[in-house]
Order: sequence, then structure tokens, then C-alpha cells
Amino acid sequence: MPPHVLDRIALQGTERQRRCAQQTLQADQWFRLRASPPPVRDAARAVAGRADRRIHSADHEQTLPGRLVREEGQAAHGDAAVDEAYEWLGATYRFYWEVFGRDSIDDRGMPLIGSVHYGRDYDNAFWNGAQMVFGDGDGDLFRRFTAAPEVVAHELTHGVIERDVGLIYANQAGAINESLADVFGVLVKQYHTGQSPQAADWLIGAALLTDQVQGRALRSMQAPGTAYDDPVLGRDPQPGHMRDFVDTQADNGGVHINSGIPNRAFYLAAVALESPAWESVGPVWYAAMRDAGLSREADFAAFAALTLDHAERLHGLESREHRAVDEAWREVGVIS
Amino acid sequence: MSDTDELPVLSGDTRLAVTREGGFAYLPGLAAPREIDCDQLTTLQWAHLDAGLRSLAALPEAERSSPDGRFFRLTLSSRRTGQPHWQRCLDEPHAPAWLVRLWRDGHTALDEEASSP
Ligand SMILES: [Zn+2]
Repeated sequence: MPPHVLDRIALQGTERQRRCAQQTLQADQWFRLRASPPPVRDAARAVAGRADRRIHSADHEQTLPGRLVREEGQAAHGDAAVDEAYEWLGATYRFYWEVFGRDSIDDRGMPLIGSVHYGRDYDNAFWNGAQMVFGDGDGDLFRRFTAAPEVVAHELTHGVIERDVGLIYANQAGAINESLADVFGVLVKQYHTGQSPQAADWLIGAALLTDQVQGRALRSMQAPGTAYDDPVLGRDPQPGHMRDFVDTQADNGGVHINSGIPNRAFYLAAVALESPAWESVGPVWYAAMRDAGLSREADFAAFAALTLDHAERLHGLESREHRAVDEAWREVGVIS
Repeated sequence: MSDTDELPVLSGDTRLAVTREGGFAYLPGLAAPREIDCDQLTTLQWAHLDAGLRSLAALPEAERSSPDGRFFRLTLSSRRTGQPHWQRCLDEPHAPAWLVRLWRDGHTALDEEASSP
């Protein structure tokens, strides 16, 4: 459908149509969380610093969470999707605990609930406000979505963002939300493998694509827009600079498209420094995400300003870190 | 554009567009916009589409606040003027099976009754 059609709906539609077209998301996460509270820490098992994983199988249905198949401390199940979800949720928990002292999604030991084998040939993974959900992929284009640590960590991070900021999931705020999930997703992978920013591939979901896809990954933080160019999937639409910002109604105002801009800013800041990204700019982004001054409708410029603020507080005004962050946001055109 | 959220009467000039949007793996090729022109439908397909669209009124409007959750967007417009009449979004977990079939397979999916699973 031509974008101007949707634009007209946004301008002239009835109230409900406008809601639909403009992605304002009145019914936000906080409301949904109150409506269905996720499980709280099991007091008998509660140990800060230890994950409480609960992996379920949806058995190819779309009912959640499905059948419990592996709990914390249990031996490997033998089903690759179950064991990958268990391992990568554990790696993500460890990252947040060891790097930021954060005890799970809510920082109060919330169980990490994941469901695998969701639906049939399901090409997606998502966070539903209470748990993470992973499809098996269709086998032709996509493998199972548990195959890559940064994908599992991305979904868990959506839970973290929901608790800490509640960034709305639309437009620039939604693209920051998506970018933060990618940023902490790759940091989990880099921390787990001990990779330097120079050695990391900065790709999202490389392990998900089959050999039949003409592409390297779903997204590239280093070079947004170059991850794939495939007859079936189309061409990676991500911009890496504000001059290429994509104004669209689709995908909640392009949250998975324009996230390329803040993704590249993080990459540029990280590779300008020698130390591991989880020690240099990772804590800067984490502090900016948790800053009470970050509005739920924040735009890129507001988020960039907070990262500069925290780079100064954590590393000093004249620090290399502060300069790297400043130059990164300039290079992607968010600040001038 | 109508002032109500009521489903307009389908006519030979009506075009339905269905897209699937969002998702961790949001790739342009997978949105697969599907367009259905009412004047190309058999009488039976037309009746099934009309009944199917009316049945959507009972379903919850998409919240689209589930990060990486996918949703379907349906738009009715006039082919002559390009003017949209009506739009509706449904979160994937609430999308009825007939709608998913219609999006995936096109108008032949309307050979079956919309209410069939
Ligand atoms: Zn996401």
C-alpha cells in the first residue's frame, strides 16, 4: 500500500483509525503488566546472583507458556531449542548480574520464563510482557530463534526496558527501545565470548539465517543497511545516519528500521576505545536507559544527551569515553 | 473517510489490503502486502469476506505494545479514488485463521467459510 494512503488515515481517520495508524499505543506496557502480573521470585529458591530459569515447550501451539520442560539446575534436556534457551538466558542473567549488579529483569530475581517451539514454522521471537517466546523458524529462510545468544538477550532486554523506562514502542522512542535490545544483546555475546569491540562482528541474528538467504544477518550495527539483500526477504532497510531516517507507518513507525541509527552510534563509540564494550560505553548506555530523565516518548537527541551526561559522570568530561560518545552521535547526525 | 468505525459496505470498487508488520525479524519481503479486489471475487468468496470482516468487530484492537510482537493491518479503500474507508489492526495472537490464510494465500482462501478454523 502506498505510504500516502496510511498518512491520510493518520490525518483524517476517526479516533480509532488514528490510533491504529499513528502507533500511539494508549494501552501501554504498565497497564498490561498490572493486568497480568508476571510470577514473582520463589522465596524458597531465591538467591540473588543466581538465575531462576523455567523453559517451556509450546509444542507447536500458540498457547503460553506451554509445558514446563527444564527448570533451574536440571540437566540438559537433549532438545536443542530447550537447551539453547536455557544456556543463553543464563548467559544474559550472568551479564546483567556481573556487569551491572542487576538481579534479573526486575532486579528482584524475577524468574526467566521462556517458551520454545512456539507455533509452526514460526519466524519470530518476542517478549509478551511476562515471558520470552521463540519460534523454530521455517527451515527455508530461518533457523530456530534460540540459536543466537544476542537474540535471546535481545528479548530479555525488552523486559528490562519495560521495567526501567517503559519507552513506548513506536517511532523514535520505539527505535531506541529496539536499539537498546540490540546493544545489550551483542554485549551479552561479547561478554560471554570475551570479545573486544574490534574483534566482534556486531551482527544481529547471523546464526538464524539459513544458507539459502543472501545475507549475513538480520541487522548490522556496524553497517546498517548491508545485512542482507535477498530476492525473498528484500533488502536491509536500516539507515545508519539521520539524513536517511525512514518516515513510515509500517512496523510501528519503523522501530526495527531506524534503530540502525542509534545502533551505529553505539558501535562507533565502542570501537573508538580499546577496552571491552561492556566496560567502556556499555555502562554509559545502561545508565542513560535508567535515567529518570529519559521520557517514555524520548527521541534520539534526548537519549544522546543522556549518554553524554553519563559518559561525563562515569568517565569524566575530558575522558576518551566522553569524546568517543560525542563523536559517535555526531557521525550519525543525531547531534551537530 | 467515514466518521465511524463501522465496516463500510463492500462494493465492486473496494480493495482490501492486508499486511503483517513488526517482529524481531522485521524484513520488508516478509510484510508481503496482499491486495484483494472485491470485483475479482466470486459471490461465495465475497460473502465469506463480508462475514469474516464483520466478525472482526468482536476482537480486541491491537495493542501493539508487545516488543517484537507481530500484527496484521487491514485497510479498505476505493480503487477509483485511492481513498481509504476503514482500517483495523489485530495482534497476531488474536488474528483469526481465515485472515492469516487470506494474507498468505490470497483470495482463494475465501473459498472456505471465514469462520472455519
Ligand atoms: Zn526487539
